[in-house]
Amino acid sequence: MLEITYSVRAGDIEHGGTASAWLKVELRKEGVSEQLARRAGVIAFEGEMNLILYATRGGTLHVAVDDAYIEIELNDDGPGIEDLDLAMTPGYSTAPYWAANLGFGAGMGLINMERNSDRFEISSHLGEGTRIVCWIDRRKDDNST
Amino acid sequence: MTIRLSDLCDVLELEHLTPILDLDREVNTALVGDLLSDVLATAKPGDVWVTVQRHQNVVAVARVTDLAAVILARDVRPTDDVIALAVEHGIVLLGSTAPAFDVCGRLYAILRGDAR
Ligand SMILES: Nc1ncnc2c1ncn2[C@@H]1O[C@H](COP(=O)(O)OP(=O)(O)OP(=O)(O)O)[C@@H](O)[C@H]1O
Ligand SMILES: [Mg+2]
Repeated sequence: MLEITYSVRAGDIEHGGTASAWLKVELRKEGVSEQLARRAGVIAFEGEMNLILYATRGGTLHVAVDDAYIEIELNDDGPGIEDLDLAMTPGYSTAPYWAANLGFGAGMGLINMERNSDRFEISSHLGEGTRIVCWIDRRKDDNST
Repeated sequence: MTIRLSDLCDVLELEHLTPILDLDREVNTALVGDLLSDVLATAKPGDVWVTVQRHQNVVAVARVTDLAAVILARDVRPTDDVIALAVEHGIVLLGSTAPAFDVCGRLYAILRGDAR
């Protein structure tokens, strides 16, 4: 059992990905396979970067691991996403120009999170915030993805 | 074909920007691109990544995807703090004066054994 919460600061691009890379190391220590730790790392990285770039006051990255699942949860309290289908469309991005110059804004982050999850849930309300929960099933660890 | 990083450095005349790190990993595939999500979606462990991005997040991407090395094309130079971060986390950074197209062309010839 492992449970960690990281708080992610709005605009803190300099540390973007740090929590995710660290998470991967912690998961390996916990006995999670390289394959699954990497998928969790990718999910966390995309989630972390979205909190940094879009969440007005940043947010939290919460990870819980047991024998069956790795659960990765991202929460922020705004601005929220108006059209989730649009946000999930590959290529759609509102990344600012300066972030695009750094290689963000492919509009692939949410899709990457979904693809690396065995189960993916996103809910968002304008003015309230966004919540994303991703599960990786450790019992399906077949090294095929 | 696979090639050891140290041999790759010699053949492609790459500058080792993190010289304290070993160049003993064997490479068999590479990828190119400057969009981080694209790299996260397609990189495989042990890949070499050719890019002109040179900021801290490059190191985080390389850590998460377990890349063998990052080749910074077209002589883009990371700042000292980025190099220090890479060293701290064991991420090999290699510099090339050639544009990404040429780096990739030569890599392709080596890794696919088709040196036309
Ligand atoms: N936590 C969030 N709060 C508000 N808007 C968000 C949030 N996460 C994503 N979005 C919106 O959804 C869009 C798509 O996000 P996604 O992560 O898929 O792509 P991106 O961040 O634009 O580019 P990439 O992740 O490929 O660098 C964003 O451009 C942004 O408009
Ligand atoms: Mg994103």
